[in-house]
Amino acid sequence: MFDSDKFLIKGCKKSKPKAQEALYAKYSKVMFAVALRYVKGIQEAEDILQESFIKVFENIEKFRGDSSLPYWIKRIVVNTALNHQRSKLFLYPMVDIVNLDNLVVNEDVFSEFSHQELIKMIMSLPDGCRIIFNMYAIEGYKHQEIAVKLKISEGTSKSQYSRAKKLLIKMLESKDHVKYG
Amino acid sequence: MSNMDSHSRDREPFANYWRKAVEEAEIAPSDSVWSLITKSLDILKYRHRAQIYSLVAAIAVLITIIVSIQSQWLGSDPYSGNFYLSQNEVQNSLNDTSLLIGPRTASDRLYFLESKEKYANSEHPKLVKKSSSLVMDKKILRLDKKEYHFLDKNSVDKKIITPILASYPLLFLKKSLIIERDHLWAGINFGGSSFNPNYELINAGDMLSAGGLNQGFLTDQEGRVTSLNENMLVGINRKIEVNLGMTIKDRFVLEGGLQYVQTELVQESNFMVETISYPTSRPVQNPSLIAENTSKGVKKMQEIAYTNTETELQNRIDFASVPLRAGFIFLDQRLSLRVNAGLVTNFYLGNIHRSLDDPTFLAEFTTSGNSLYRNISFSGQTGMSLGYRLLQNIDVTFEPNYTQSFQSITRSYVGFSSIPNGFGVMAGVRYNFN
Repeated sequence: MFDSDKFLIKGCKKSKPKAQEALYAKYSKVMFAVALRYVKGIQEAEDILQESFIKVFENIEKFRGDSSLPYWIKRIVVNTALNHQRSKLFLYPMVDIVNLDNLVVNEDVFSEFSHQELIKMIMSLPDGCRIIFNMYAIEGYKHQEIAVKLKISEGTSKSQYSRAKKLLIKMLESKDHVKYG
Repeated sequence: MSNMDSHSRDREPFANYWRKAVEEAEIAPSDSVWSLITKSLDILKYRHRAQIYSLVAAIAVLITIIVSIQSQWLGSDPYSGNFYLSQNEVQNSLNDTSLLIGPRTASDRLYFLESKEKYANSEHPKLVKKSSSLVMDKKILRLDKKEYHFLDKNSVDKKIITPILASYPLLFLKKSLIIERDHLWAGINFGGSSFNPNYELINAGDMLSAGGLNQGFLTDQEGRVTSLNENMLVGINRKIEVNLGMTIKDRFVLEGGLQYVQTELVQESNFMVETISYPTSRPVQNPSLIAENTSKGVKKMQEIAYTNTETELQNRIDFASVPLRAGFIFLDQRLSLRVNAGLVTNFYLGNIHRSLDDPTFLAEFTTSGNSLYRNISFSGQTGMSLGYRLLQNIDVTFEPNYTQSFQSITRSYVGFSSIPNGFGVMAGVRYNFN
């Protein structure tokens, strides 16, 4: 009962340290995995996690319950990560859009990898395509939405995604990926 | 993102595989993240409080200005509250066009009424609307009665009194109309203010060289050299004050008091002083002095050690302050407004360092030769005092103010200066002796 989101939100709105700690304990692992996907290093992900939870506690008054609490926190983490990475977005040249249909991978391949290993693969992607891969494949944005949000062209979004896809398939097939941590 | 599921249907399988594979992933961050979050929240807490003090002070100043402008130049309701007529003044001015009436006491605050016409057995519509009363010769006249009499034995009865603006600008009042009588009061106030330390590292070399350290750098016991990183962050003051004041020369006042001030702020440092038996921390201090004065300032220190771990400390500094203010009365009616400025002498009482993680004391310092802070420092204060007459002799007061230190509160040799300033508010009660 005491770790229900409603109870935690109420406590956090009153700035109660125990409620804040409980909320952090409940969601920090999921959110850290989210932050890791957007960066190259653990330290940077921890910085994003720290900044995000400070924003969460500062703005918890504004949380009205229109969405679930974890979804709201995740949005903060993603936006914080994007702000951290925004300067890196335009450093990478356009790549040719490859025919995505030619790149096929079997879903069963994923079961051979742990969460950490998969996240490590994403972390190893170049900055620009890592961000767009996360936004498109995992967060569910459309290329058009990504283009608006990141102020890039839709074509850039698509090309960066195809580049990420190509690199990830190569990693999945090679299986000589580096273990997380 | 909001339409994630519908997007999933539209997207290629590869994206969906990845989403399923990693969206519920959980990876534990290091413990230091939570520790840093709590420290940041503590710092924000002080920053928010300081902002609140500033905001309240600004709003109070704004309200005070609006109220005083409205009251001074636009007028206010002369019928609010009880009116006490000065029998002498009535007698003296019955045949004049103006009648002087002072509220509360005959000679205290002033209302100006104008007597124009005499009516017999009639009523004045303005007066009928009001439920105020006039006191004259200890007898109360109800203004909402249809017919009323001034029970002045001399001559006046059935007289209509037409008020002019009760808040006739006192600023431009003829001196002869101001009753020169000293007014004495005592008050108690509670409040707080923001504490902007204006910290500056002025000479790290001097600070460290006496301890055999490289100028501007710290060397720990393992021989690692680190540049000094020291900072005071924003904090708050809590204050309680008793004061005594009096009017001098018409609208000028003098007020003095005694304040207990507790300053609480967050201090960042990478210079830690530790002992084996009793870990204590001091942000920047001449290390040799610590060793020499352990019995004076830092209790239970047995062995000195240095580390240069980045850390944040809560620093509580206690002061006894003596404010001496001069003021000018702009408005002196039921609502009073005074502008003050003055000098505050601060006597350092001691300070306590605590870890932000652990409320137990890391170190406690008292006023002594090895203290970081000056035993006496001076600051200037300016503000407004807004009072409202709640009872016959008791005012509630609200005082926004701004304080600026004239000098660093730290000693000259410690290598950093702090010339704090801040906005604050005090609220309390004032008892008027006459």
